[in-house]
Amino acid sequence: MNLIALLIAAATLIAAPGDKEAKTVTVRMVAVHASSTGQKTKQFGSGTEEVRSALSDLNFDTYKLVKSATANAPYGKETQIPIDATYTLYVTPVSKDAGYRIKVEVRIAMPDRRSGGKSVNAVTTTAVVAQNSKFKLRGLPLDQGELVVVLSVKE
Amino acid sequence: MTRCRWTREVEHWIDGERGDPAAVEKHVAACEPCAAYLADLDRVRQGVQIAAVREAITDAQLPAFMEGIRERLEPPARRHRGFWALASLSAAALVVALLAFSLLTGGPQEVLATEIESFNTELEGATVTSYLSEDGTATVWVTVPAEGTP
Repeated sequence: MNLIALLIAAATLIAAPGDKEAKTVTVRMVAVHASSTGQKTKQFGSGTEEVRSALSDLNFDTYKLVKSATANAPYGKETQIPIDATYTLYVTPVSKDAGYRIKVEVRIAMPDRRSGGKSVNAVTTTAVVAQNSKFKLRGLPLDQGELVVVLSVKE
Repeated sequence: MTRCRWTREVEHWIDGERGDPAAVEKHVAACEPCAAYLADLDRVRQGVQIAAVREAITDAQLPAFMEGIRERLEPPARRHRGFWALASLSAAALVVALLAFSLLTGGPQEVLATEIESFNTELEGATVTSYLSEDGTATVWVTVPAEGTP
């Protein structure tokens, strides 16, 4: 009986999640409009609760949700997530490292009015993201404030 | 006990050695001491025959016989011996499983933080930096001049 238990344990360990490469990554995006409106305390709009800690270093006093979305992004393929009428997020999962971190290429594109609406990459970054952690892109202008996009990825 | 002169004859007769059996038998029937002596001799003979019988163990009796010997040789089994044996084997199995896990996965992985490897912008006049906020959130910060927005 103990031998059987040992074999089952060994088989379970051999089939550990780390050995299997998931084919898609779950991308969670919360886009927030951050602005200064003269509030004495920071005001967080509905839907921004899950990213408040990621916004704690910003000096704005008002945060409003622009859009939140969850998408399944296949490895090696760019997945598009519209943010608003101007900005569009693109995420490409590249690989997973030995520490279970997921390498992703992220860009936020916007139309360039000066070139006839041709899309331009407002920001492009490559990040190696620890699962269950967040990272953010900030600084793009949005309605007298700025756009803050908080991202997390996990398999 | 009163001894009769026929005593030796009675002894020989019961051993079937010699003499006149008919005469001895006739005498014993009439002589009380010889009859008593003959009865004593007969009891002794039966006792010797019983003692001389060799105990035989059949194949069917052998397991029970050996079990009896084993019970006398081995100390009585301690209570809960099965539980502790199972616990010991389970602990050994757990150690082996952990060892196998360690070997298969290359040991415990270091918990790594999110890192920004590269960043860039195509906006004219804009700059990009990255930093790690106090709460550990990796951040890419685009600074766009007012006239830089396309």
